[in-house]
Amino acid sequence: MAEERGVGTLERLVLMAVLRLGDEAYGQSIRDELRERVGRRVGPGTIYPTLDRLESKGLLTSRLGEPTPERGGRAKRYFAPTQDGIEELRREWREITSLAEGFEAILDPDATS
Amino acid sequence: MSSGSPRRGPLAFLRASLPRRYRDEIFGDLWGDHQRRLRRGRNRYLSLVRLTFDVLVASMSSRWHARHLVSPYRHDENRSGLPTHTDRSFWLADELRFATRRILRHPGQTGFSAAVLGLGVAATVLVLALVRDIVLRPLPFDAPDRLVRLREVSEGRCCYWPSFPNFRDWREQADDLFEDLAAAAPPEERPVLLVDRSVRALAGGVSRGFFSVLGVAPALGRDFLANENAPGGAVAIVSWSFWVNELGGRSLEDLVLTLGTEPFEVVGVLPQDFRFLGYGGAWQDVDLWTPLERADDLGGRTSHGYHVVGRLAEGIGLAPARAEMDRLAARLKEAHGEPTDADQVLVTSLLDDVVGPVRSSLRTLLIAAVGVLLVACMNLAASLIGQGLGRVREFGVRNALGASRAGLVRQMVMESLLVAVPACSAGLGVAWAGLALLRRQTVGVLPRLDQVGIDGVDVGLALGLALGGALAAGLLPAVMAATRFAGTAGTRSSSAGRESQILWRSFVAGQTALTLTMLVGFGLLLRSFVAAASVDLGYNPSDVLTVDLTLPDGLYQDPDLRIGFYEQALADIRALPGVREVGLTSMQPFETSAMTGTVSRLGAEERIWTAYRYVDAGYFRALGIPLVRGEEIRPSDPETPEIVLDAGLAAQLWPDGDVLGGALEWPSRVIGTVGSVREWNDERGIGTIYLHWRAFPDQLLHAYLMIRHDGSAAELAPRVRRALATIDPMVPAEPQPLFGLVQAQLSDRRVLLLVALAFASLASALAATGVYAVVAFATRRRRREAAIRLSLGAQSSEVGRTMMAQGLRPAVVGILIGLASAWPVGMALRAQLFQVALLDPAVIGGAGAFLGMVACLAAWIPARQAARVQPVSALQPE
Repeated sequence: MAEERGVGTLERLVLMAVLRLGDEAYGQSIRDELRERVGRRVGPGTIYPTLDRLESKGLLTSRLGEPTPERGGRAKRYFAPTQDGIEELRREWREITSLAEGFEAILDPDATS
Repeated sequence: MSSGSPRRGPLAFLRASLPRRYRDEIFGDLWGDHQRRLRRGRNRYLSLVRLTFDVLVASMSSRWHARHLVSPYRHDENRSGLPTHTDRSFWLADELRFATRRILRHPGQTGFSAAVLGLGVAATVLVLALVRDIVLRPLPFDAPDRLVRLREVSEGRCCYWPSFPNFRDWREQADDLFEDLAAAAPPEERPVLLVDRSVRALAGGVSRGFFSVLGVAPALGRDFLANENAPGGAVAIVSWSFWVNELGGRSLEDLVLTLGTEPFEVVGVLPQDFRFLGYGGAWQDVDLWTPLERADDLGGRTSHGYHVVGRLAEGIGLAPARAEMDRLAARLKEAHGEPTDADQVLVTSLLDDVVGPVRSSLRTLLIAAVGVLLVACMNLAASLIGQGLGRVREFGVRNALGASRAGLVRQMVMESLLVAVPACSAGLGVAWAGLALLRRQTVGVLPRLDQVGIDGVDVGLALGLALGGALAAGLLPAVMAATRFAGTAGTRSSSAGRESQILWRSFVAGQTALTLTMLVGFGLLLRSFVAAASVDLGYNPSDVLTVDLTLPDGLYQDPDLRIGFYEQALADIRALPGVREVGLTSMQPFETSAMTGTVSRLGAEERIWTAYRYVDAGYFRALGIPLVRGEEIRPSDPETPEIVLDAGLAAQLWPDGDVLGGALEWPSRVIGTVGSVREWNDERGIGTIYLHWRAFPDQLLHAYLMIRHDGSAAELAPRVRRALATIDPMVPAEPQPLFGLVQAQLSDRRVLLLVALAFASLASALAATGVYAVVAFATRRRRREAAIRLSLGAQSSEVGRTMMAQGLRPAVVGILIGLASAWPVGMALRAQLFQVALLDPAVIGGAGAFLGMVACLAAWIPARQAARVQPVSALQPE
């Protein structure tokens, strides 16, 4: 199915956030990152299945970290982009920037003023 | 504060609502949010509410977002198409999706099953609502269980309405038994003058304390005062509907209406649901009540004209009240020496009295409705079993591909539950429409019908019935299909396990037996209906207009004025073109019981119950009632009136036939006999004594004209109305075709029978379809076997015969069982039967033969197809 290969908006945002967070990318921190940077409130019911989906598409990997005492022994799942994931972001970035060329004034008024 | 999120207590349940895969992570995060909120000093309870909300949202959103990840088709170890439920929290959604898809692929079958189940639900819900709101619901009075009705028993004959003097004695002397007693004169239709116009209204009278005995307070205004229920009290209390519809809901101040010649001040309006006894078994809304005891003369001890109700004193039961009242009646009879009919007093619960007559009819309806539901479930089960057996191969394949048996059972149960939802809504719709139809068609047959409603409880009931029915119907075939066949993986699909064969055959036999019972019940009801419909009324109601005349009593006090009005009316109408005959009567022909009494022949002992009627000769001619012997009725001396008897009564009084010239116990002379007139359901009929109306103008404030006409009633009616208005515009007159009234009367009484008949025919038709389906299916399943036999050289005719015999065997067993159950069916229905024996051979034989034919046809058609089949085509994999 085409939909399974492509990447949705939310998935792209999550992928970017994971890339930004580096070693500290887990569910809660990704949600916080999205809220602070993009202003999007993403619930845990949305974030974990989305992470799973990205993983099943081969764009993310996950590993279980050390259990944190604060969370009652529960181990966090840490995420990191795969090579495919980074390639996907790169491809999208290229598409966006080449399409946006010459329209900076419209798309990003702050940059010109 | 303990750091871990809770795994016990109320929050554990909340946590468990999350899909297992994400349970720890999601709940951990949300619990963390909750802890942060607490650290920031938020209210603990508000934060918990927020936590609950967040968990529920996450529970739904995670299922939604994870839908592709857990698709049954992408599961590694199970490619059967069915979910494996390794994670049980997903199962409902997946089962639902899968079952919905399957069901939508067979819309016809699903629709049929849902419709059948829906009809069963509709019938049951409707009848249960009727039973609940008519029979079981307490009367809308205060402490209604202590309300009783009192009637007189005379010479062991039950029951007479009490006379006023007897009531007055009871009220005074039985005050230790009753908190109070009250009487009501049943309502009569009377012209009422309002400010700007005249209307006809049902007006009744009530004794002192009537409304307080019932525990009813007027919704507006006040009750009658003690001094108003005495001579001179010109006040009235009106019903809610009369106040709204006729009085325009005006303020009670200065609200006055005129009854007869006297103005009555309206002092109160009754609550909307107030009803009381009228004539016959009526439980009716009466337009207005006036104080009864304002009249000087309320009749002697043998004028049985009043309803008497009482409120039993605290702690007094029915039986002691009865015994005590009987002793009181005996004392009274001895004490005052006047002739009285009250030898004993019958004390009955008022509710029993109102609903008693319809109880048995409703019981019949309930049996019929449950029958419909039962058949509906059987049909659904049959269709599911059929599908289940037909899906052996599918189940086998799914099982081989990794679906568990429990999963297959869950799947089939889910499919049948999905049938229940449309069935429930369809059933409620039909029940609601049925109730509306019943309301319109049966005014006055079922008491309290206007208070029957389908409410939230019924919706719940319908849902429960539909779910329960579907589940019951789905479980057996599901278990059968899944456990028996899950292992047979496609190769041996047509010869299923022995146990399931036995199960299946018992099912066919059971369904056939049940169907036959239904058919017998249906046949008995049908024969009753036909017998009832073909009763000879004794007169011809076609082409007759009837005009209901009520003279305003204030204007027609003088008997000569009444005679003058009627003579003028008869003469003027007779002169109208298109009128063949016109006659006058005090009561319509179908109202044989309205004015009755006992009578004996002069010098004879035997007393016979009869009806009285004041008529003229034109009445008989207009209705086509034949003169049997002697002469027509004619005006005569009121002291020794000449009378005409109906032939049946004449034969009872004068068994020797020497009736002409004879006399009754009172001075009279019989001059003729006429044909008997019957009420519908009265096998013996009640005899009638006819007197000429001219001698008794005091009885005729109310009368009917009967006009036999040529041509259309619609053209004649306005001419009749004009002719009457010319004589006196103050007399309201509305000509109506007699045929319609008679039909309405008959249909009123037949309507319960009709409803039962409708249920029974529905159940029978469904059941017969079901029998056809199961027998045909059982035979069709053996196609492959037939093909093998054919290819091994069996004769086609022989194969057909064998298959047909095998298909028929369980049906024959069912028919035998069904025949044995004919007697209980007849017993259950006997209250509704009319001129039909409980074990009617025609009905039982006919039902058995019909069902036998259905079964033969169902076995024969597929057997013939199988016997003709090309062996190769049947053996090819489907």
